[in-house]
Amino acid sequence: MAKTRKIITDPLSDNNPVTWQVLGVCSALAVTTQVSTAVVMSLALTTVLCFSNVVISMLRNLIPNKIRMIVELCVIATLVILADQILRAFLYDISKQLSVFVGLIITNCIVMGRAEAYALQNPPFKSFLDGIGNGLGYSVVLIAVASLRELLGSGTWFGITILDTSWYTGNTLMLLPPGAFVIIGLLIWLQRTFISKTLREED
Amino acid sequence: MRDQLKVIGFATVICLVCSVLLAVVSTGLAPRQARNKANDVKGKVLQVFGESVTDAKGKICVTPDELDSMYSERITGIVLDAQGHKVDSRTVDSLTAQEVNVRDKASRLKTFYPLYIYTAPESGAKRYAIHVSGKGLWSTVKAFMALEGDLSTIAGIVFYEHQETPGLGGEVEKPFFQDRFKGKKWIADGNVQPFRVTKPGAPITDHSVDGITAATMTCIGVERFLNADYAVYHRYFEQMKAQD
Repeated sequence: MAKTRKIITDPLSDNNPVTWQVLGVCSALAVTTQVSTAVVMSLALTTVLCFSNVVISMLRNLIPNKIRMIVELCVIATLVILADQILRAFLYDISKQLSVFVGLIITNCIVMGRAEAYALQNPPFKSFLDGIGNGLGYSVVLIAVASLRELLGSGTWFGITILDTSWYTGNTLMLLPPGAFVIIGLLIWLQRTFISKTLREED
Repeated sequence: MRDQLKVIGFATVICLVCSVLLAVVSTGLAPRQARNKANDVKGKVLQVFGESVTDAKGKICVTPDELDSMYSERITGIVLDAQGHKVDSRTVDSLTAQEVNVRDKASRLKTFYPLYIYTAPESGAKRYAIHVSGKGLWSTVKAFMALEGDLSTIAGIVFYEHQETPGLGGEVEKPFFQDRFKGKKWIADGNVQPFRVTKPGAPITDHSVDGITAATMTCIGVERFLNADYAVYHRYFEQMKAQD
């Protein structure tokens, strides 16, 4: 039981896909100017990640080793297009804001990385949990970055005004991609210095 | 040999399963997606005429059915070609984004120009909305501009699509910028005046608006395409006035 829990909790901090493995940074820069888009992106990625892990884990004994990466890509691409089509049909406004970035989940290294590193060796249920864990790990970072950027950049959070424009001038740097670089850099530093248990124990 | 056959077989099956799944979902959802897209445009057109169909963030807040009936009651559309002549064979709803946004390399004109005509529910007074779009800094900026019955006074503008820098050029979508256009005029003394999006210091006239600080390139783009696109509509407006 403790082991199962670890599959989910590990990627949240100690083995976080963004701040520890530095994967999926492209989208963490692109869709984090507003919290609401970051939340939808996180949901979309977590869903795709869970399903791709499950599908690949179920096929893991059938996939010929020679073409395993192509097969993984094929499964992931299919799932991403499905997610994109469903967003367009049911959450049109948000799909417009996310624009190409849903499609780019295909190139998000977390999805491919988990398929290669975990789903190919583990049974479907565990792979599913691994998907949830890594998806949440990505979401935590994305939402943290987006919260800071939206708050400092436009003075709002989820579109609600927090820092009133009468005295607060939005910091435009936060709305531009370099702002995300700075924040992600700070997060990585924070985590490696203060939070990560593994590192502290090694010291 | 057997191994290779297995590989080919497996690849074929995976491809077949994936493509069938995608084909089914895409076909199944297509009508819904098309309706979302069409309603999005309809909502923007109603919005530029000052109908309250959107909330403060520009999201449509009426049901698709309400939107449809409001649109079909109040709005008719006609299609113009690059010379400002009416094209009877096309309807505004059938135009593609390509046809109304992409300019011909040589002439700098688009293939078609949609014109939306709004009839007020009680008075029957008519107003007009033109579609304007062109390059900003990073992307194609698209907008609807509503004109009063005199075909010169700007009743409103809605920038509905762009990928400009958020917080800089992206500010074109904000009400504070769009409100600056209200009441401005295209025509003075019977002639079309060049419309200007100015930098600080320049006098604000009836034919200019204050631009956005730190978004010079976006403003230059907006100024350019507003003038280029209005010129085409103006030709049709002249014909319309001559017929009256």
